Amino acid sequence: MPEIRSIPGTTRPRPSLAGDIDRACVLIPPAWDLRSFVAVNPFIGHAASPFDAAARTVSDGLGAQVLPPVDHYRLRWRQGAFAPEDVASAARRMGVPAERVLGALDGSARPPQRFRLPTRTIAEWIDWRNGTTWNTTVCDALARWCESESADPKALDATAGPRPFARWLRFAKVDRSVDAAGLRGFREAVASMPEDPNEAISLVLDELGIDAIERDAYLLRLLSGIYGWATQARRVAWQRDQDQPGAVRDLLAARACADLAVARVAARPGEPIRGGGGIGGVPVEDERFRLTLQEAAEDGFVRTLLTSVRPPEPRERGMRPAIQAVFCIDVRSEPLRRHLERHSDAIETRGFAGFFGVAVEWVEAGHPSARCPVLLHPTCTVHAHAPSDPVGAGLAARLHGSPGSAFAMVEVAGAAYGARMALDEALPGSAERREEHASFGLQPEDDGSGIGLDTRIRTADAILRGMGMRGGFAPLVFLCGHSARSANNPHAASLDCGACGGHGGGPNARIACAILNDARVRAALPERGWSIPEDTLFVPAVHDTSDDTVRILDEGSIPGSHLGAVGRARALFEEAGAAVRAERAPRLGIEERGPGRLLRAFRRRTRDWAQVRPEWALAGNAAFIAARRARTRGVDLSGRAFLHEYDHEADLDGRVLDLILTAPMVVASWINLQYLASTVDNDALGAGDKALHDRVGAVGVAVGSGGDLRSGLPLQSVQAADGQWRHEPLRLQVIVEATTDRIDSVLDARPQVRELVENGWVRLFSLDPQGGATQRLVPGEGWEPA
Amino acid sequence: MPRPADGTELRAVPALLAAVSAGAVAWAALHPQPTAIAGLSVDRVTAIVALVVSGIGTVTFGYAVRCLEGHARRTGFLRALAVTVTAAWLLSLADSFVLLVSAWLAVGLGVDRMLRFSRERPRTHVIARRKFIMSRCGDALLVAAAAVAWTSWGTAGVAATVASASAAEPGPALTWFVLLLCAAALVKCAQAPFHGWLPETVEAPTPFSAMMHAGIVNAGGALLIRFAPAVARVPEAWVMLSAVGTASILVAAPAAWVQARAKAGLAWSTVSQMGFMLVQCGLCAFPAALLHLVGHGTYKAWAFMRAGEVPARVHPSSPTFRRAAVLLALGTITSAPALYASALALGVLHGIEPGELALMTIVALASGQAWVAWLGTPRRSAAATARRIACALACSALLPATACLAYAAADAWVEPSMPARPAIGGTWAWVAAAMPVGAVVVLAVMHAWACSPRHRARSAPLLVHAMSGFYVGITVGRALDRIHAFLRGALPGATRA
Repeated sequence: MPEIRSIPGTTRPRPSLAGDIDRACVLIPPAWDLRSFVAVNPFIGHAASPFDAAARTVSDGLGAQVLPPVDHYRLRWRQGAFAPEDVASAARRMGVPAERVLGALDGSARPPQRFRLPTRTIAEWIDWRNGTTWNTTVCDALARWCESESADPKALDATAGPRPFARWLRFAKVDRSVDAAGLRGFREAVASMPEDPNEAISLVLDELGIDAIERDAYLLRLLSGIYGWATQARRVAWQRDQDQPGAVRDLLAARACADLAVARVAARPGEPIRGGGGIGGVPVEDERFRLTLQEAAEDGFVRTLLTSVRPPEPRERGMRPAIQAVFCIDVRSEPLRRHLERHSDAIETRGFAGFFGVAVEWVEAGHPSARCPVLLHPTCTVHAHAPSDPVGAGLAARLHGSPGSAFAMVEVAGAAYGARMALDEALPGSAERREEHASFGLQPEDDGSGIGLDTRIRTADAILRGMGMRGGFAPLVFLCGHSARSANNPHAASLDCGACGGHGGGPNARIACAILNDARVRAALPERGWSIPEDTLFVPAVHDTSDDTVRILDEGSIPGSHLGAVGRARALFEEAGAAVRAERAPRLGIEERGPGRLLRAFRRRTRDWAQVRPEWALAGNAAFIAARRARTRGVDLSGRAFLHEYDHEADLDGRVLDLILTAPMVVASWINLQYLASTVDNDALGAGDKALHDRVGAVGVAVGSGGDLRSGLPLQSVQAADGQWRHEPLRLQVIVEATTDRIDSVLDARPQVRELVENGWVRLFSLDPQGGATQRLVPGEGWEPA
Repeated sequence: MPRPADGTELRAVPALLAAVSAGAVAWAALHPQPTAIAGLSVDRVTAIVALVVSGIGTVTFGYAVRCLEGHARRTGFLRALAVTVTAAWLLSLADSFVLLVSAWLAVGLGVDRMLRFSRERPRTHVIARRKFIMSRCGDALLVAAAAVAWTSWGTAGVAATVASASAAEPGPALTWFVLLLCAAALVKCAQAPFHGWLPETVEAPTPFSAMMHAGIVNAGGALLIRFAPAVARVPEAWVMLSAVGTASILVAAPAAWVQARAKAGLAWSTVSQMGFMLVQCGLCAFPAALLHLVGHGTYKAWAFMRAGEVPARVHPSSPTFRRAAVLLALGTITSAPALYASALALGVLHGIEPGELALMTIVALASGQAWVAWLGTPRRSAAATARRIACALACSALLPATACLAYAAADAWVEPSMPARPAIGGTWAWVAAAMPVGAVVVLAVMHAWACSPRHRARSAPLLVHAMSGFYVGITVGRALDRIHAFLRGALPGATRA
């Protein structure tokens, strides 16, 4: 529990209040900025509650929906997405009468409802009574303060310098915008607040008469008014300690003070401060009932999926593949892998987290960026050799922003901008990613950069083990990261590789290959049990998910002996890419035919500055399969599955499975729940309409003329132009090819993973490595046949 | 099978207008004397404004088609955009007050329609309502100016009015006509204290902002340039334009620095850029104002449509106040010789002319800003420093030369369409010139001071006030809300929303 400072002469907060405040604050998920926009589970703070209970809390506190309305399930039911047997099985597991569910689906019975008693801030009560909009006014003012601080990376850091709350107080004592908007006296009311957030909140609760029972709901309601900025504040704290509220508490205190100030200024004398009748309960469809339908819909999906999985086959020995290509587990890899394998039996593909086990801080032009999943911290630093101080960097922006030059600039350079505008509209282009070409060195340097030999050997060992490699290395092994291209897109990083921290996967693939090709590393690997043939070459590549081309990187360092094979591989990549594009084109509304024209149409679309749907990214994701590729090879998974290579025989001690379930699986569930939330309730948990976005520096986006920062994905990332949802809200179906015993031993050792399964945030299935049987882990009950 | 009309088929409208305008520009290049066709007047000023409006309209329209794909209200938006572009195009070419006022009104209505795009958002309606009331005030002022012209000179033609006003004896008619025209222009150009609505209109989709800031908001400037000979005869107008423009620069430029939101920053910067354009009108530097209108329009349209791009990371530069001030002064002074030489050589400077001197000072100051940008942060390597010094010196020579060249080109282009401008001088002219120069110098120093890390604690309160535009817009906006509430009470059902 954080220490509470006490100022003599003020009331000491009740000891339990600080705990309540922290609990409310850690319900807010962290969110990353636009340069490293990675998917986050929006319900991460609720992971300890069952799914339906969390759905109720979120609905009552934040006013957001976690589960789709019953109508959605009716539609899927009519479309045949799930069958009566799915409903029966789901109803049994959830303890709901199946006839009732079926009745709700065919419209003969009303789905059960519950009455929601919405919590409101005092300002909302006053607004509701008087027809004013003071709640919005004060939330906007607080968001404006956050914006004004956003350029400073330390602004929302509660541990650096004066507390954010104290800085807000200083701001609020100066700013007259709320007073000018008509709330005269607001500034004065705020000015008398104590500088400690907990004390301020305590004072507000006392004066407003909010007792301990309502406290949690009231605090969460306050936070919902500044949710987007709170997620940013939470990330700053989260990176240091996942249980600390950090500056979320400061924002909460500011919200509370503003609410009190509105109450003092705008409440009419003699009126009760809250209530006033009229706002009763709001009927909502019961969450547990909807969860039953959700289970049934997911059963329908997973039933089809499990029947398409191939039975285990006796291992083929002796045939050495000509090419191995390791792709990111990202769902967009699946179609490309499928088409690659279809073209040739000599190619073998694998799935692995796209940072290839290299948690690196990549420094380009003096700017560091963490190229690893946000669950990890970079363990090494690599400098790209690039000009660090170009003469023209940022010059135009600075001249446009300075008085005097701002006026002269448009007169001198106006015509150039006219030409640029015509060019951007008629011939869109996009710059190359320098990170895919800039040279770098792994030799340790004085400044702490580089990777020492011992670390390289350990990393190589870990990469090979994680990829489930045992023997049978092909002469050519591609490590294929991925990156995307889009233009004028604040959420561009959301299309890049999440495992690389929301960046392109080029540097990680290049570094991993450099390590694996290092002669001294290769020399040390046999003593760790690896026998890699001398002629095996690791080649970095990048799968461009916007047009499904594959760029082979560092071609200059490919020896002559492998050039022919690389050329053949390139042809294979091109052929497979064309097939994937043909498969994807209808969903993007591209009508062109013929491989060449299709590629040009894809390029044009993704580089278009007005395009709000450059690609569908991970929309549609629903499953995570950790198994040998042999179990899914040749199966069309429609780009809906994360595929992680897992060979139970190569993992006798269960360490690899432990790693898969604690890291890639968790990341996949984050992505899955982000898409789910942004689809089910884009207004509250998504980023809204891209056409209305206003980028706030490099932090996030606001919608329209102001207000809170928006977190989550834009509407256009999950909804097609024809109004169809491109993402179907299904939770992640985790399918692991391992015995239930082995899975259980991992879950026993990792309570946080068990929590995800038991509380229904993911659903876990075991695929028998020996036979075709599948079992599911039913929360609270254990394994049963699926 | 023909597709149902969804608005996209209207993309031919702005494209056709742009093609016609390009032809008109070519025509005007060859035939400098104004040509009247079908109630439109084609000369070098009107043709170029028409080309800017329709060119930006074409790009914006294509952009809107794609960026609003899937929106239920896209059809309505595209239709309103086509109407707005057409009306703005007619406005720039109209030869009679009847057409001018009709086009002016149509632009306002098209804008209102687009602004109400996000109907489900409550704040959209508040913002659209404020803009609606301001637009009607502008309409009233323009109608009043037209009425004065009709009653005084008995003409409803633009060219005829310009001719009459140029020949008329100085008197109340001329003064009132020009002052009403200027007031209409100031309201249209979102000038203080009636500027609050413009930053608020980022509420609407991005293509709306691109069109608004590049082709609509500058209609006031275009209007004054067309009536330049009349404006040049009314010293009160010079001071009015210069004073209001300067005030807008003072309010809006600091607001633009501190906005973290990209489009909000661009919108505030438009207020100050429009202020500068009207200052140029007040200094009777109409060719320069036209250059500013064109340059700002293309830049701002592009910047809005590109506003989503996350900027590349740059190393923060926050020079100390002393360093910035010294660099600013050095850079400004260093550019003086090149500026003087190129201004004389290109005929941009005619002796001691207050307006021309004011513009030259601001160009020199811009070179000073470039010095601050390049040399503000000390570099570790000597080579990098040397490279930057070379760039700064080159800038001191090239920027003035380019600016003078641009001004000279604008002069040469406009000259045949605009009757020779009377020599401007006297106390009023000096007052009109001194205000903006003083304001920009103050702002430049203030900018350096506010950026300085050491003065952050003291500059913070000022920046807090600046962020809300010193509350001018908020206060006026509230007054507009009250007017609306009053009107709704007085005329039930007569006003919207």
